[in-house]
Amino acid sequence: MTPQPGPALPASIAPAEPNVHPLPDSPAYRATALRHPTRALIAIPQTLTELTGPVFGLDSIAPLDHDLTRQHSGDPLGQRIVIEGRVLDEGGRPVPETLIEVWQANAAGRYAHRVDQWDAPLDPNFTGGGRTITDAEGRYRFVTVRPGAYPWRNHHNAWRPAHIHFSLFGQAFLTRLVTQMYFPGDPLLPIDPIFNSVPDPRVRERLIAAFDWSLTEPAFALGYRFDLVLRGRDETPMESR
Amino acid sequence: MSGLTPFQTVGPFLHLGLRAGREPMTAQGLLTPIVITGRLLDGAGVGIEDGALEFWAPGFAGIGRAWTEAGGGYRLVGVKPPVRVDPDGAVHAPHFAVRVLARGILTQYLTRVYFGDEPDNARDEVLRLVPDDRRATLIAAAAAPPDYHLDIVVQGDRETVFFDL
Repeated sequence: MTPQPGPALPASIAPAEPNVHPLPDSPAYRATALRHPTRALIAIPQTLTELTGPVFGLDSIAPLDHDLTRQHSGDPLGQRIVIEGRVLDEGGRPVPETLIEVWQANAAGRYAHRVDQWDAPLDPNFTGGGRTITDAEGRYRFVTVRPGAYPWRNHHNAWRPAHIHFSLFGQAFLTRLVTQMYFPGDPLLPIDPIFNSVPDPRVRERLIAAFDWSLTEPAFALGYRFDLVLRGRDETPMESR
Repeated sequence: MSGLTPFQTVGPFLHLGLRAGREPMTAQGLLTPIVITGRLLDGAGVGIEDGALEFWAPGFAGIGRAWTEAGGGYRLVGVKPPVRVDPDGAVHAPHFAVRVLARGILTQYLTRVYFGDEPDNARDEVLRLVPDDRRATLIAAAAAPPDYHLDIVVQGDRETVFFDL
């Protein structure tokens, strides 16, 4: 039995700005060698599957999930920072009520994760995972500590620049973004294969937060601004699929 | 206009952040319980043990997330999405959209999982765009209910079909 036709589809997702994302085969980042597809991608139409996505209500987060410094009984070590920004789409429209998940190393550069065996100290007062939901204007705010740089095995004497991982959903399956936020002036940025996997140097700059004195809170924390831009819907609804 | 933010890899410590969606997937209606298992494999046939698969279908209560574990194994518990027909009559066999994220993956790989026991697969407008000899990479084999099996292979002779959207 075939079901009856469903309602009209939501507006399509506009084509993404080209040449923004890293190339899946980026030899300087060695782990891509066996983890990138070699067959051509197959173009398919956007269907209801891709034009919808999960909805996360305010009930899906706890009040302190955005504050990584208050998840334990004591204060974590390190430089306290606040990060604020807006989530927009490529048309400049705010993306309201979307889930942001973040994760990071502690101030010494150590992740509270069984896979991280570097001998920098763990911090019993810092786990390094947080989340929040954007407000009606697409704004978000996290409180955390500045993560440390850490060594990895990609090449001789390889160190990752300080970074915070960001994961966002947006309003459809196709608007999802997973990225990393970096800090201005980090001397490791020019030699990091992951940051430099973004081919265009000007586009790479979009991954660097800005120090913002207006977000800096007296006797509390340094402030950084980091705006994120997701794919957005076409201005006019489609006639059909 | 605003400049699109580039992707970066989830890296090996994704479990600290990607916590939502690990409960069974649910949706309204009388839908068939399913369990999909398989392995996420690299170009050498080795299991990717630090990946995440995200599953989505319209009308579901949330995203479905499966972390890959020892040997690259994953397990998704949920219900089977229904057949869908567009206003113009296009038929969509039951399927989930699937996103692959892992260390060594700098962006996201987008694919789908269909179900081997669905007669509407032959009419599905997306499956029809996939060459015959690669279609099986998108179709989970039906075992005894509620079990289905599908390996996702990111590179090589058995490479899964990934989509440009």
